[in-house]
Amino acid sequence: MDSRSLEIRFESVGGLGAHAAAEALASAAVLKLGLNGSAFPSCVPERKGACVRSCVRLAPPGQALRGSGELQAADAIVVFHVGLLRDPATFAGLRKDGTLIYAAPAKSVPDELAALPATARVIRVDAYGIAAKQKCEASGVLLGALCAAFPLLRETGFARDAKECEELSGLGEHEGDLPPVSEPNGEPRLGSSIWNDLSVARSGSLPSFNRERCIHCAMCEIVCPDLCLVWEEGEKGGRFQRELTGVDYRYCKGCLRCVETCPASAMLKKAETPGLAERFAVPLFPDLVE
Amino acid sequence: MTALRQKLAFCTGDEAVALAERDIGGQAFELDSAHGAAAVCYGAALGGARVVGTTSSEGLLAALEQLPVQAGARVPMVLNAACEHSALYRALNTGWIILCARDAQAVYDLNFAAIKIGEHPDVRLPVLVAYDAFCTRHEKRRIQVFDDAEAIHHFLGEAPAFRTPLDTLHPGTFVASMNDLQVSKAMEAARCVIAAVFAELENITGRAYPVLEAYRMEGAEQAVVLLNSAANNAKDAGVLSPNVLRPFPAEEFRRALRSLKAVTIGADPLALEVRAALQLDAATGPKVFNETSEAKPPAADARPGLPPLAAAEVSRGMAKVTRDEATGRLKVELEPLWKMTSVPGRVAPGHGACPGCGALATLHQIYKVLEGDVVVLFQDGCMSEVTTAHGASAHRVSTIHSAGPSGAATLSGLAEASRSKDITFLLITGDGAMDAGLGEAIAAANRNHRMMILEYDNQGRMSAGAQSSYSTPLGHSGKTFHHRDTAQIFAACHLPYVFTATEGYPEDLMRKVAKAQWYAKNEGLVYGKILSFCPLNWGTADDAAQPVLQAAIDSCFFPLYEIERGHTTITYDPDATDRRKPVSDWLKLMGKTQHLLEAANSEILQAIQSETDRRWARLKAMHEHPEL
Ligand code: SF4
Ligand code: SF4
Ligand code: SF4
Repeated sequence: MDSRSLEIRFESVGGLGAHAAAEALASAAVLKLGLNGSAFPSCVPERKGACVRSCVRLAPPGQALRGSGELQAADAIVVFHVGLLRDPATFAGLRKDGTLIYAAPAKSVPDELAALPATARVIRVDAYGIAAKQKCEASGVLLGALCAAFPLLRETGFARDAKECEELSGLGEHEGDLPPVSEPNGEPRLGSSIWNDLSVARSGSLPSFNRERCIHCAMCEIVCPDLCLVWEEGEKGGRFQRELTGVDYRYCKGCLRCVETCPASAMLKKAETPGLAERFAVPLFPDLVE
Repeated sequence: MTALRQKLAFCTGDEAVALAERDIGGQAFELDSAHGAAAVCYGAALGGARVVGTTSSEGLLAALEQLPVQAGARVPMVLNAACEHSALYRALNTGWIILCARDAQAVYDLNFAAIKIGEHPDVRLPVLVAYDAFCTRHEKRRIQVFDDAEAIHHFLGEAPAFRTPLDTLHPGTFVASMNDLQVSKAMEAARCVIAAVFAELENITGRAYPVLEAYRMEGAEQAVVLLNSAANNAKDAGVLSPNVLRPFPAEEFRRALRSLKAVTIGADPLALEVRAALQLDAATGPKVFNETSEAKPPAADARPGLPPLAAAEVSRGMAKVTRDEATGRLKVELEPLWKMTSVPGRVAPGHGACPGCGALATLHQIYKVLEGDVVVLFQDGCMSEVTTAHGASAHRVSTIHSAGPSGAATLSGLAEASRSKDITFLLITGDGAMDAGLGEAIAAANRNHRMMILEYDNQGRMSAGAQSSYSTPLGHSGKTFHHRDTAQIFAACHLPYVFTATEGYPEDLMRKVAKAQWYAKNEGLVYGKILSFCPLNWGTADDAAQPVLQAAIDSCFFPLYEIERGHTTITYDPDATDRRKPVSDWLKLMGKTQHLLEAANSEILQAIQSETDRRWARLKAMHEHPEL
């Protein structure tokens, strides 16, 4: 950081406070520490549940800031939702000596981390667990972990106890800097949105389906904005011609409109614990989307 | 090739366009506003029609926001602009090819050239034929017109079959890619095509249109550079005047100016470009590369999407519409909701709307009952954005994005270009874009095209951070006047069918949509206003749609009714079922309106209540009296 700038990317989902955290960091660095700095939000306005990216550039006082807009490469990437790690775009461009900080409970080590540079630093912090216990914002916990990890940022006033963080090693297998990713261009293919994974849009709850109770009335289907309920032909000779078989949680954003609408209590709100959605998901496109 | 038969005419520039239009055999359109003209032409051109449109200085300036989109979508069409040069200069870098006509003869001839240039597969760009707003436009001159349909046809060839949303067997997401790279490549390719087309035209007419026209330039030491008819007026000097302004004839200018001592140029924008062209001739300084001409286009997504939906797959007879011969009204019988689960979705999961978004639920309900092929134009807003975010498309039928809030005009052009009676043309718009494009939507309503305008009304421009729109009620986000009653505005256009509905009453909504489709196919334009939940900007829980929407209709703030051939029918009457509530019961459910319940705002609250009561009483009177 002495001679070059520090580039930090916040990877998040609308509603988790990443834009605010990025802005707070940059403004403290500029106004309090006298550094040169900028904060750039990827999308304004921020839709709830949509992928959100915020970029912070910092440079020593005498050094002019280079670059603006979205960061293709970064020294640090802070991931607000562990589900985002499923998309390689989340950590694209991480430098080989970079730092990845992600929010997840203890023991959660997604396989995707193998794609990180072998020489990068990886830090996990149970931001949501800590936030729930201390009745504070998880975004503040993540910001605190970031500031604790970089000596220069300790004086911002955000740094938290480094003991909250776990430094993981031996995960990454990539050699050198990670390449940046680019979005596909040209005419989009029909229905190609099915490759998107929207599970990160859920904020702690999901609808849990009880087939025994279901009367297959389709009241839930007609109000579900995310088109993620799976229907099949009913069993031959059975009571129902069409039957609801479950929810494809890849697309379910957890709005719980189905729960609110169901007349038979066959859809119930349930706290989402790790692995729950994967265990109960019924795929809409089993032959296409893995 | 042999010369084609011609005959004399005596006409103005405007009349020359009309003659060219007639002889080309393009489709004629009755247009509304200047802004709408380019949008209607765009729609018709998207439909594969050969379009020759006309506009003025004001029209060109008003259409400016659309021009780059139309070029980016690579849709050939011809727009004649009888315009001031100051207006023309604003359109220089919009990706359109620009031909300049100095007299009525050139106007006539260049329209034929423009069709052929724009339609060339390497070019596929819209072409502007510019002529003077005053002189050329109004001066009658002796011209030669073609008198040989067969030779014209031979010259123009068949209109090429470019991809169109009307080809419902091969649907696509027609989103203009504003990628300068592909447009500038097409523009470069146009240089050869233009030369070849002009040569062919000269061959059959005997009239030459050099890219850069030179008058008395032989041995000249000085010259003036002038556009259009001005070039005809200069007498005592050599004159250079481009017949092609885009792509800019830089090389031709360099060659023509090389031996001159001085050159005078009519206007600054032109002077700048000629200077830039000469600069390259100086052979000093750095070599300049044009990045876009060297770069490779980015790759398209390699992952497969979903197969297109055939009309038969989605037409499952979920709403049976019959006509009551006695009353002339339509009756709809809906299949039960569970049966509708067999209808494949025209919109796929994986879109990026907020959790609980009612606009998506609305779209889902609309699609359940629509029968047959539909071509959907999404006007700018949340729905257009979230269904095509990050290079992916959630659509499985042909969809189009409009250039600005001119969707109604564009869709009307497309509907007119369609020869098929089987396609339903549907405009999906938020209240924000509807507000911005209201003039053109009403113009389309006045022309009564066979199309549907369905508005998901969430009372604000949600894609622009919840700015207020015509639907935003008094006191919400600081609004100081009442929401417009758009259903009544459209009712006053005397459309065959106007309705209001809400996604909170799916069956009622679907019944009305089915009727609307029937009227759109058989009688003309229909308009539906559909109250749709927006948890993000209403400040509610994601699952609060039902109580909030229910309170909006129980308070009569958003009454549910339909106007069928002028007869108003209230379809849900909270008075009759004793469910009538004060508007405060609705407002208290949303975060965005909490402040209206404070004592300090009691006047606003009272004003909303009185206006609601007044409109409801009026509506009831209309319901009761067949003549109202
Ligand atoms: S609303 Fe409830 S009972 Fe009806 S289909 Fe859905 S889950 Fe089953
Ligand atoms: S919570 Fe229910 S209604 Fe909401 S997206 Fe998931 S399945 Fe659909
Ligand atoms: S802002 Fe409102 S309308 Fe837009 S996607 Fe979100 S919920 Fe839907």
